[in-house]
Amino acid sequence: MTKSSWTAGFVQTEFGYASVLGVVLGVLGIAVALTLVRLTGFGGMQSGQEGIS
Amino acid sequence: MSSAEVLPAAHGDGERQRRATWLRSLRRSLRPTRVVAFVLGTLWLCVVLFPIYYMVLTSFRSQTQYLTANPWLPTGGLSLSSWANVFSSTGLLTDFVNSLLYTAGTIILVVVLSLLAAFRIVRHSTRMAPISFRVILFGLAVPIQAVLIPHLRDHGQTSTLRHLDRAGAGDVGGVDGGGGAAHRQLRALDPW
Repeated sequence: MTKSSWTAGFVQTEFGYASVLGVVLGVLGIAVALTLVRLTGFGGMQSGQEGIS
Repeated sequence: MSSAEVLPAAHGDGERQRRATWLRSLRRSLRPTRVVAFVLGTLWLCVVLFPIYYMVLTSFRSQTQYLTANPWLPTGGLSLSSWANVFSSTGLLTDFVNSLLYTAGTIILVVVLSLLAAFRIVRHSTRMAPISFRVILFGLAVPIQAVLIPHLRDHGQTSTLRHLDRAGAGDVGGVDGGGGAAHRQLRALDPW
Protein backbone atom coordinates (compact mmCIF):
# COMPACT_ATOMS: atom_id res chain seq x y z
CA MET A 1 0.00 0.00 0.00
CA THR A 2 2.87 2.35 0.81
CA LYS A 3 4.44 1.78 -2.59
CA SER A 4 1.10 2.24 -4.37
CA SER A 5 0.66 5.48 -2.47
CA TRP A 6 4.16 6.61 -3.49
CA THR A 7 3.58 5.70 -7.14
CA ALA A 8 0.13 7.32 -7.26
CA GLY A 9 1.44 10.51 -5.67
CA PHE A 10 4.90 11.06 -7.10
CA VAL A 11 4.83 9.15 -10.39
CA GLN A 12 1.23 9.58 -11.53
CA THR A 13 0.62 12.88 -9.65
CA GLU A 14 -2.74 11.58 -8.41
CA PHE A 15 -2.40 13.25 -5.02
CA GLY A 16 -5.99 12.64 -3.94
CA TYR A 17 -5.70 8.90 -4.56
CA ALA A 18 -2.34 8.76 -2.78
CA SER A 19 -3.73 10.69 0.19
CA VAL A 20 -6.68 8.32 0.54
CA LEU A 21 -4.26 5.37 0.61
CA GLY A 22 -2.25 7.20 3.28
CA VAL A 23 -5.34 7.87 5.41
CA VAL A 24 -6.52 4.24 5.06
CA LEU A 25 -3.05 3.00 5.99
CA GLY A 26 -2.99 5.29 9.05
CA VAL A 27 -6.44 4.18 10.21
CA LEU A 28 -5.50 0.51 9.76
CA GLY A 29 -2.28 1.06 11.71
CA ILE A 30 -4.13 2.69 14.61
CA ALA A 31 -6.74 -0.09 14.59
CA VAL A 32 -4.08 -2.82 14.69
CA ALA A 33 -2.17 -1.02 17.45
CA LEU A 34 -5.31 -0.56 19.61
CA THR A 35 -6.31 -4.20 19.06
CA LEU A 36 -2.86 -5.38 20.12
CA VAL A 37 -2.93 -3.18 23.22
CA ARG A 38 -6.35 -4.58 24.13
CA LEU A 39 -5.47 -8.23 23.41
CA THR A 40 -2.03 -8.30 25.04
CA GLY A 41 -2.89 -6.09 28.00
CA PHE A 42 0.14 -3.95 27.15
CA GLY A 43 -1.58 -0.77 28.40
CA GLY A 44 -1.89 -2.22 31.90
CA MET A 45 1.77 -3.20 32.19
CA GLN A 46 3.80 -1.49 34.89
CA SER A 47 7.50 -0.97 35.15
CA GLY A 48 9.50 -3.30 37.35
CA GLN A 49 11.03 -0.15 38.82
CA GLU A 50 7.63 1.16 39.97
CA GLY A 51 7.78 2.50 43.53
CA ILE A 52 11.59 2.55 43.62
CA SER A 53 12.92 6.07 43.82
CA MET B 1 -15.31 21.39 73.15
CA SER B 2 -17.86 19.36 71.28
CA SER B 3 -17.20 17.79 67.91
CA ALA B 4 -19.87 20.04 66.37
CA GLU B 5 -17.71 23.10 67.21
CA VAL B 6 -14.45 21.53 65.90
CA LEU B 7 -15.73 20.30 62.53
CA PRO B 8 -16.41 23.69 60.84
CA ALA B 9 -12.92 24.96 61.79
CA ALA B 10 -11.29 21.78 60.43
CA HIS B 11 -13.37 22.10 57.28
CA GLY B 12 -12.18 25.73 56.86
CA ASP B 13 -8.53 24.67 57.33
CA GLY B 14 -8.91 21.98 54.68
CA GLU B 15 -10.40 24.48 52.27
CA ARG B 16 -7.55 26.94 52.90
CA GLN B 17 -5.00 24.16 52.41
CA ARG B 18 -6.58 23.07 49.14
CA ARG B 19 -6.65 26.67 47.96
CA ALA B 20 -2.97 27.17 48.87
CA THR B 21 -1.99 23.95 47.06
CA TRP B 22 -3.94 25.03 44.00
CA LEU B 23 -2.27 28.46 44.03
CA ARG B 24 1.18 26.88 44.37
CA SER B 25 0.56 24.55 41.43
CA LEU B 26 -0.82 27.47 39.37
CA ARG B 27 2.31 29.53 40.15
CA ARG B 28 4.49 26.56 39.15
CA SER B 29 2.56 26.15 35.90
CA LEU B 30 2.91 29.84 35.04
CA ARG B 31 6.68 29.95 35.45
CA PRO B 32 8.20 31.64 32.35
CA THR B 33 10.20 28.53 31.43
CA ARG B 34 7.07 26.40 31.52
CA VAL B 35 5.07 28.90 29.47
CA VAL B 36 7.85 29.08 26.85
CA ALA B 37 8.06 25.26 26.78
CA PHE B 38 4.28 25.05 26.36
CA VAL B 39 4.27 27.55 23.47
CA LEU B 40 7.20 25.85 21.72
CA GLY B 41 5.61 22.44 22.27
CA THR B 42 2.33 23.63 20.79
CA LEU B 43 4.13 25.10 17.77
CA TRP B 44 6.01 21.84 17.26
CA LEU B 45 2.73 19.90 17.56
CA CYS B 46 1.29 22.04 14.74
CA VAL B 47 4.39 21.35 12.59
CA VAL B 48 4.10 17.61 13.22
CA LEU B 49 0.34 17.46 12.69
CA PHE B 50 0.27 19.58 9.54
CA PRO B 51 1.29 16.79 7.09
CA ILE B 52 -1.47 14.59 8.49
CA TYR B 53 -4.00 17.42 8.19
CA TYR B 54 -2.78 18.11 4.64
CA MET B 55 -3.09 14.43 3.69
CA VAL B 56 -6.64 14.17 5.04
CA LEU B 57 -7.60 17.44 3.32
CA THR B 58 -6.09 16.32 -0.01
CA SER B 59 -7.92 13.01 0.17
CA PHE B 60 -11.20 14.95 0.03
CA ARG B 61 -10.20 16.89 -3.08
CA SER B 62 -10.35 16.10 -6.78
CA GLN B 63 -7.26 16.70 -8.91
CA THR B 64 -8.64 20.05 -10.14
CA GLN B 65 -9.47 21.20 -6.60
CA TYR B 66 -6.01 20.13 -5.47
CA LEU B 67 -4.37 22.30 -8.11
CA THR B 68 -6.59 25.37 -7.68
CA ALA B 69 -7.92 25.52 -4.10
CA ASN B 70 -6.21 27.01 -1.05
CA PRO B 71 -3.78 24.33 0.18
CA TRP B 72 -4.09 25.43 3.83
CA LEU B 73 -7.86 25.60 4.26
CA PRO B 74 -10.77 23.37 3.21
CA THR B 75 -12.07 25.91 0.72
CA GLY B 76 -13.19 25.39 -2.88
CA GLY B 77 -15.49 22.47 -2.06
CA LEU B 78 -14.72 18.95 -0.99
CA SER B 79 -15.07 15.83 -3.10
CA LEU B 80 -15.26 12.11 -2.40
CA SER B 81 -14.05 11.14 -5.89
CA SER B 82 -10.62 9.96 -4.65
CA TRP B 83 -12.26 7.76 -2.00
CA ALA B 84 -14.61 6.33 -4.64
CA ASN B 85 -11.61 5.65 -6.92
CA VAL B 86 -9.72 3.79 -4.20
CA PHE B 87 -12.62 1.66 -3.01
CA SER B 88 -13.94 0.89 -6.50
CA SER B 89 -10.55 -0.33 -7.70
CA THR B 90 -9.56 -3.96 -7.26
CA GLY B 91 -6.00 -2.98 -6.34
CA LEU B 92 -6.73 -2.02 -2.73
CA LEU B 93 -7.20 -5.59 -1.51
CA THR B 94 -4.07 -6.81 -3.32
CA ASP B 95 -2.08 -3.90 -1.91
CA PHE B 96 -3.41 -4.67 1.56
CA VAL B 97 -2.50 -8.37 1.30
CA ASN B 98 0.98 -7.42 0.03
CA SER B 99 1.48 -5.04 2.95
CA LEU B 100 0.25 -7.69 5.39
CA LEU B 101 2.64 -10.33 4.01
CA TYR B 102 5.61 -7.96 4.04
CA THR B 103 4.85 -6.67 7.53
CA ALA B 104 4.28 -10.11 9.04
CA GLY B 105 7.42 -11.51 7.38
CA THR B 106 9.52 -8.58 8.55
CA ILE B 107 8.24 -8.75 12.13
CA ILE B 108 8.82 -12.51 12.40
CA LEU B 109 12.35 -12.16 11.01
CA VAL B 110 13.20 -9.20 13.27
CA VAL B 111 11.81 -10.81 16.44
CA VAL B 112 13.59 -14.15 15.84
CA LEU B 113 16.93 -12.58 14.90
CA SER B 114 16.88 -9.94 17.66
CA LEU B 115 15.99 -12.55 20.30
CA LEU B 116 18.88 -14.75 19.25
CA ALA B 117 21.26 -11.79 19.02
CA ALA B 118 20.14 -10.38 22.39
CA PHE B 119 20.68 -13.74 24.10
CA ARG B 120 24.15 -14.07 22.64
CA ILE B 121 25.18 -10.48 23.47
CA VAL B 122 23.87 -10.50 27.05
CA ARG B 123 24.70 -14.06 28.12
CA HIS B 124 28.08 -14.65 26.46
CA SER B 125 30.81 -12.18 27.29
CA THR B 126 33.07 -12.93 24.37
CA ARG B 127 35.19 -10.26 22.69
CA MET B 128 32.91 -10.17 19.66
CA ALA B 129 29.67 -9.65 21.62
CA PRO B 130 30.13 -5.94 22.46
CA ILE B 131 31.53 -5.27 18.97
CA SER B 132 28.49 -6.82 17.28
CA PHE B 133 26.23 -4.89 19.67
CA ARG B 134 27.89 -1.62 18.62
CA VAL B 135 27.56 -2.57 14.94
CA ILE B 136 23.82 -3.13 15.48
CA LEU B 137 23.55 0.23 17.28
CA PHE B 138 25.41 1.88 14.41
CA GLY B 139 22.73 0.54 12.07
CA LEU B 140 20.15 2.63 13.97
CA ALA B 141 22.04 5.80 13.05
CA VAL B 142 21.41 5.24 9.32
CA PRO B 143 18.22 7.08 8.31
CA ILE B 144 15.64 4.69 6.86
CA GLN B 145 14.96 7.03 3.93
CA ALA B 146 18.60 6.80 2.84
CA VAL B 147 18.14 3.05 2.43
CA LEU B 148 14.54 2.85 1.27
CA ILE B 149 14.47 5.49 -1.47
CA PRO B 150 17.50 4.15 -3.43
CA HIS B 151 16.03 0.65 -3.00
CA LEU B 152 12.72 1.81 -4.49
CA ARG B 153 14.60 3.62 -7.27
CA ASP B 154 16.72 0.60 -8.19
CA HIS B 155 14.28 -2.24 -7.65
CA GLY B 156 10.79 -0.77 -7.22
CA GLN B 157 10.22 -0.05 -10.92
CA THR B 158 11.70 -3.29 -12.23
CA SER B 159 10.61 -5.74 -9.57
CA THR B 160 9.68 -9.13 -10.99
CA LEU B 161 7.51 -10.05 -8.02
CA ARG B 162 4.06 -10.73 -9.41
CA HIS B 163 2.09 -8.20 -7.33
CA LEU B 164 4.69 -5.56 -6.73
CA ASP B 165 5.58 -4.98 -10.38
CA ARG B 166 1.97 -4.02 -11.07
CA ALA B 167 2.47 -0.80 -9.13
CA GLY B 168 5.72 -0.07 -10.93
CA ALA B 169 4.21 -0.76 -14.34
CA GLY B 170 2.10 2.40 -14.17
CA ASP B 171 -1.23 1.01 -13.01
CA VAL B 172 -2.00 1.75 -9.40
CA GLY B 173 -5.46 0.60 -8.42
CA GLY B 174 -7.95 2.14 -10.78
CA VAL B 175 -5.86 5.20 -11.59
CA ASP B 176 -5.07 5.77 -15.23
CA GLY B 177 -1.31 5.66 -15.61
CA GLY B 178 -1.00 8.24 -18.39
CA GLY B 179 -2.34 11.66 -19.35
CA GLY B 180 -2.15 15.13 -17.85
CA ALA B 181 0.43 17.83 -18.47
CA ALA B 182 1.71 17.67 -14.88
CA HIS B 183 2.14 13.92 -15.19
CA ARG B 184 4.07 14.22 -18.47
CA GLN B 185 6.27 16.98 -17.04
CA LEU B 186 7.06 14.90 -13.99
CA ARG B 187 7.81 11.89 -16.20
CA ALA B 188 10.21 14.01 -18.26
CA LEU B 189 12.01 15.23 -15.14
CA ASP B 190 11.90 11.90 -13.34
CA PRO B 191 15.28 10.17 -13.67
CA TRP B 192 13.80 6.85 -12.52
